[in-house]
Amino acid sequence: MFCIRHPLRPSAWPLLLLWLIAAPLQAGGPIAGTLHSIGSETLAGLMLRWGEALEAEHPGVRLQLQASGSSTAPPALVAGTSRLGPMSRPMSAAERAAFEAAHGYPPLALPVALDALALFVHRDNPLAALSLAQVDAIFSDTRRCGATLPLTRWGGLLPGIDGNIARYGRNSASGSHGVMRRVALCGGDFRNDVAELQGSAAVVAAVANDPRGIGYAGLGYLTPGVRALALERDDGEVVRPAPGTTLDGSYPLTRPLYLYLNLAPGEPWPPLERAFVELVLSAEGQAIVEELGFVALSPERLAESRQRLGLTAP
Amino acid sequence: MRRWRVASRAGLPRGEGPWPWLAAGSLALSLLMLAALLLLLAGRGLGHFWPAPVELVTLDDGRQLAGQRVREERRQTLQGSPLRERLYRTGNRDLEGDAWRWVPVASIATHEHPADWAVIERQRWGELIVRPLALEENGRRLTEAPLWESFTARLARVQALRVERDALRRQVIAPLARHLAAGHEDAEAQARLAEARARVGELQAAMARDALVVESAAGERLSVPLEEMVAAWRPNAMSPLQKLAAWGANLWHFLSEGPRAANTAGGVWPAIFGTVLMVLLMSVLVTPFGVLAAVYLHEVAPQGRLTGWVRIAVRNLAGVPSIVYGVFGLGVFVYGIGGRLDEWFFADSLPSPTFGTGGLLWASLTLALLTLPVVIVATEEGLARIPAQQREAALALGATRAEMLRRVVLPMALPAMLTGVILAIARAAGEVAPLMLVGVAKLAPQVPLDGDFPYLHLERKFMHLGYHVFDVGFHSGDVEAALPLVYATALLLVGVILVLNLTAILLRHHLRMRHARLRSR
Amino acid sequence: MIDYSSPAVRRRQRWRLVRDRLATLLIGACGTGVIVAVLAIGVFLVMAAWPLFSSPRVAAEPAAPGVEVAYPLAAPLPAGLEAWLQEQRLDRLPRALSQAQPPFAGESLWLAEGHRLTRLALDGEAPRVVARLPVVAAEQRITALATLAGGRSLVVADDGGGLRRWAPEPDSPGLRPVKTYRERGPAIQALWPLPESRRFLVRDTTGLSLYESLAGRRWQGEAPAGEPLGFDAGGGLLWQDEGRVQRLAIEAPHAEVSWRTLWLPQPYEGHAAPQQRWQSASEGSLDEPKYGLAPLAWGTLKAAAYALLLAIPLALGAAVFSACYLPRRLRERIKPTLELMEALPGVVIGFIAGLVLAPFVERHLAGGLALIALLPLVMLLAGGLWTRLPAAWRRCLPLGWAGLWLMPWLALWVALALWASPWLEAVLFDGDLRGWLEASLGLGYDQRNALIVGLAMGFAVIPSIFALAEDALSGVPASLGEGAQALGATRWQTLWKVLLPAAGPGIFSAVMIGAGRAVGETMIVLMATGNTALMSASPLEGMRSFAANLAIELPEAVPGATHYRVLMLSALLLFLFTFAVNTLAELVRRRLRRRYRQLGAGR
Repeated sequence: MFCIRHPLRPSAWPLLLLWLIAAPLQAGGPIAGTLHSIGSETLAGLMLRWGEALEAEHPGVRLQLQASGSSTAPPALVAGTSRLGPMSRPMSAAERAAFEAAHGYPPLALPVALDALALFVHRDNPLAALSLAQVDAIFSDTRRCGATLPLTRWGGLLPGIDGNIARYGRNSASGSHGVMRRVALCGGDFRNDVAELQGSAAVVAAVANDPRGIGYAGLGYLTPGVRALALERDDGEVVRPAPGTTLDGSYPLTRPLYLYLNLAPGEPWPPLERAFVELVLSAEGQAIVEELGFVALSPERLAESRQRLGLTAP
Repeated sequence: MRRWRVASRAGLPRGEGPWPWLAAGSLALSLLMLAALLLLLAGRGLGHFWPAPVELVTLDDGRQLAGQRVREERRQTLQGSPLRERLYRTGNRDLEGDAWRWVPVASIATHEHPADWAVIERQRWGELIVRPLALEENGRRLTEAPLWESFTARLARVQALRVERDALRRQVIAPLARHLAAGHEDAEAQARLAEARARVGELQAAMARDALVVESAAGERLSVPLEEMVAAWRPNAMSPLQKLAAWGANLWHFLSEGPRAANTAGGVWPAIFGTVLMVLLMSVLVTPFGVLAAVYLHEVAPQGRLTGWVRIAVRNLAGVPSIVYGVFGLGVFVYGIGGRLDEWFFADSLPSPTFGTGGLLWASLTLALLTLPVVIVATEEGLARIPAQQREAALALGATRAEMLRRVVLPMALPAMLTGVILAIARAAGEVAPLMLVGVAKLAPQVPLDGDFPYLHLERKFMHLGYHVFDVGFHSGDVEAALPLVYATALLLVGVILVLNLTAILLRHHLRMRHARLRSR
Repeated sequence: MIDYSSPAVRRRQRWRLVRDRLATLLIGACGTGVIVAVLAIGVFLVMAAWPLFSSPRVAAEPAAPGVEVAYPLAAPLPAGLEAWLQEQRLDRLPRALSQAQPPFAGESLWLAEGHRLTRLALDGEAPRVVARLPVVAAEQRITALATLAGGRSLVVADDGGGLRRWAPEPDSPGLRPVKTYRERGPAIQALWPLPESRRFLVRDTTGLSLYESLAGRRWQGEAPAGEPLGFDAGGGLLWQDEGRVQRLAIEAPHAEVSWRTLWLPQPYEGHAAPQQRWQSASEGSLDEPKYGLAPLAWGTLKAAAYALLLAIPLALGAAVFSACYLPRRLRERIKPTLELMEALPGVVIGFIAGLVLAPFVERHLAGGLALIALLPLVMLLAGGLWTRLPAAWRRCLPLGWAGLWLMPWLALWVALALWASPWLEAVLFDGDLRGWLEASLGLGYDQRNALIVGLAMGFAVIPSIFALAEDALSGVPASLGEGAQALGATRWQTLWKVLLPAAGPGIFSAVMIGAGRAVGETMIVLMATGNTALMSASPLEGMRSFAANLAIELPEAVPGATHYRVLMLSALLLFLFTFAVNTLAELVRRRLRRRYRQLGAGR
């Protein structure tokens, strides 16, 4: 079993502690008020924890969070009802154009974490890797990615093991369903016997109880009852889902999670938002990302983001 | 009325054939299923709070692990060989990547229950299951003995400091910061804020003083600041009485605290609060309307064919699926009325909806609609039980109809109305499907009732016990960790509903007795 | 003595009367208001679903000044390709670009020559001919060609009026006929696919018609004079007539839905055969939404049927035993207990069924299946043993209390069956019951299947059926039963010959109410099944019900969109079904009550 969550490096603890103690002291003027955030449900847990951390650091700050889906973020940013728009997908060209038309400058897209989708099998299952075409042949009946025959029995993948493949997935409203359909099924249709369960945890629990099951869910939902499969890319390389491969982009089923900001060039940044973004891009903010099972950004990418925003080095 | 049965009870049921046994068996089976469900809920739900012993397991290959035994599973592997596996909760998620381990029972060489292993609950990353080695103060190793007693004393100190710090933040710094951030130039407030902040800094520093050096079963040593810890106990060294005390404390925390760690730890207080508040609002809405409609149907409306049909229709609405009411609530209350309200009164905050999205008010209204038929039917039954002589006597004495209704009929029908309302509450408290459409939230950081004007925030989303069961069971990151909480929450929900139902049943019984007496007089 | 003529008293009297009238009015207004509000549910659902079936509107209006063509009538070809076609003198032929999946992936250009289609692959340096396919009868000529949004369907029109949809074959360069919109008719002159949708306008010699790729023709009318220019950004067709520009507004928001597409198998893109399918597309994507209600209706009825299969025998058995055998005092305890069962929230039962029972049954499948046959036998065995007991023992275990003392006996057998499950599986099925089921009966096993739902929802429905059936049975006038017993009938004979016929309608209505509840139960189906929209009757496969589907998809549906309205339609169906079933049950019950009153008049 490989470790998917980096333990926070031991050397980081004292640093973090020091920062926690020093933060209230170093802050100049008092920061208080309410931050409005409207957007993605995937990011709701993260936003909530970041909000809690910010509140612990600056009492008097409150995060008003509304999480009803990524599509709700752009209209709110356009109308100015919120200045933070968490989204689990990039803005579409039309959404971006609407923002520019309203404000005269483009919105600032800040990647704040990465999410990887993993294919899970039961812990007894000896299968090591699947190619994307095989994934398509298992989950889809349109087979747009090039497989000629559907895969319905384990015998087709693992000689000597019999039985029908039981497929588990998410409901059509979820982002995981969308990413899977777009990337792994080449835009095709799911078979109609893929179970549509009401949450990633339910997918993992179902696979953990079904030796002949296979399912997809966020990598953060990995439990000891299941194993995450590696994926064989078109160029023949076998990639395991892990923070490392998610970070360098070699694992295909990944998506970045964004925080969209309404930041006018040349204008002073409201201290409240600045403090929030500073927290998100700090070691502590990224530790929360890891704790919630997402993949934290690489230090280089963090440093680059910080520099772009004119934040001081941590 | 069943005298014939009494006559035959003495004799043996000769010649009854096999059928009575099948009938008795179905009754027994139904009761058995009910009992099994309740026992399962109670056992798993309440057992979760009991401090389980820590097992130190040595495997065949010499590796060690420490954890709490969760359950065992027997099955056939894919290759066809039988396997017996045991699940251990090993904690230490940040060290080992996972808080759980499946261990084949055949590979366990020995297992023991050493007294000095401790379970430490932390603010993040879940539990640690480790052996404490020594205490550190400002990085300096201490040699105080006995270790555990001195550790618990220091932990208590940190907890006291934390309480003080949180109170300071909440009660002093937050209002001052808000006051200053609003643009007030106030030198005194500035000074007080600086002072409070300095004090918080001191407290933080004091809290960061101590650390505990621990060793995990894999042999990894680390020093954990006491500031990180929430609680610590040594289950193997606890007496049954201590365990009972810990069980009670855990249960209390579950009932009184908010959820932590994305709903997989902590308590369900906001969900209890949300459920109760929603149900209260719903009963406030449903009672007057339900009673008025019943009085109209039974006392005022002409008792013709049309009224008969309306009565049948209302009765049948009790059988319409709750999700259909949810659809109605979403379409009419949320999108229809809520959207209009937003356009008229909250236009400045559009496009982010205020009332145009699910919330407490719409959820209560939807459930009120859902339970209206229940209240109408129960009240009407109560009205029908009132002997006609009572009404006639009142009218004969010169009372108008309104006076007769208010002074005679309604007081007599009161228990029936109460029964109806309680049944409505019991039904509403357990309904989840319509709430999923009209306003329940997986995590509501702000409860709908607080100190900010206007105190009761009808537009806010709220948490609900039933939805919490669904959400934690299906959406939480760590299903294994969440499952016991789901059991406990489900038990709580069932408990609340059973108590409400029992009340209704007793009330109805009482009512029937009273009317039986009235009639026989 | 009150002097009624005194003005004060008279005033008070009048005031009382006014108050009475006011109160009555208030009660009347509130009452009717509430009842109307409650009954408004049906009206609302009808209103919400109605626009699905309103016919599309296509009307010419003066174009707004300055409006521009955003989408030309035919998608422009890459510049190089256009030049190549001109070079080859092929540029005047009807043509269309399409997408296909591997191994013939990538874009292809289709050219119509006479009655044949030529497929040119565009993956190399220069276009190369891959196939020439006759797609219409030899005497006809293809007059127009278009691909629909997504590029996976080719619509072919000919001068004989034939209009057909073809799809690229997955494994060969050929084409497969998918749907025939019409065989013959007036010669078709042009095809104009609407931007970003699966609709197209067809112009033939008689006029203009609007087609949808699945639903077929949705509108037919006169074509305005002049020639079309292209579609504007709002999807209207700009039409030029002697320098005057008109806009043909096409309002067909729900053209893809008709009774046929909702209930009959449809030729969806990428599937070889027409299918019954429910798969809503995410908003704004080019995926073809699949709104087949048949699998959902099937799933709803299947779940209810399996639930009733368990609930009817158990609930009726329990009701019979409670009404005829239980001593009165025990009965007063048992009845409320079973009524409490009704109050158990669906979410709790669903959670137990989905996360606990489903994996458990999967591990103990052999034992679980054996129990179905075993339990009735064990009940009879208990009866057989009981008659052989010494009389003193029998007095300790009276038949009237059998409902209670059978519980440990049954529990023992359940435990035994589960304990013996691995052994049973090893001996009878070679250690792999699932494999055996698949191999010999062709039954696939889903972990979350109809059996689990039947068990969980049956459990939830038992109390409602029990309560009503018990009421019906114990409401039979005592004189009937007493008469039968006096003539020497046993209790069972009395029940079978006298009570059941008398209470039959009541029992029927109890079952109907139970069915209504099973059809509408949401959380249990949502949590205990995989929500797979399958149409199979197998007890070991899953299903997706209307109610669960509503709970999953409605929060995400955009109000007013087709998806939203189709969901509203399914809610309406659910409403009508339960309402009808309940009304039937209520009417039957009313008639029964009247009959009892007549029979038991002397009571």
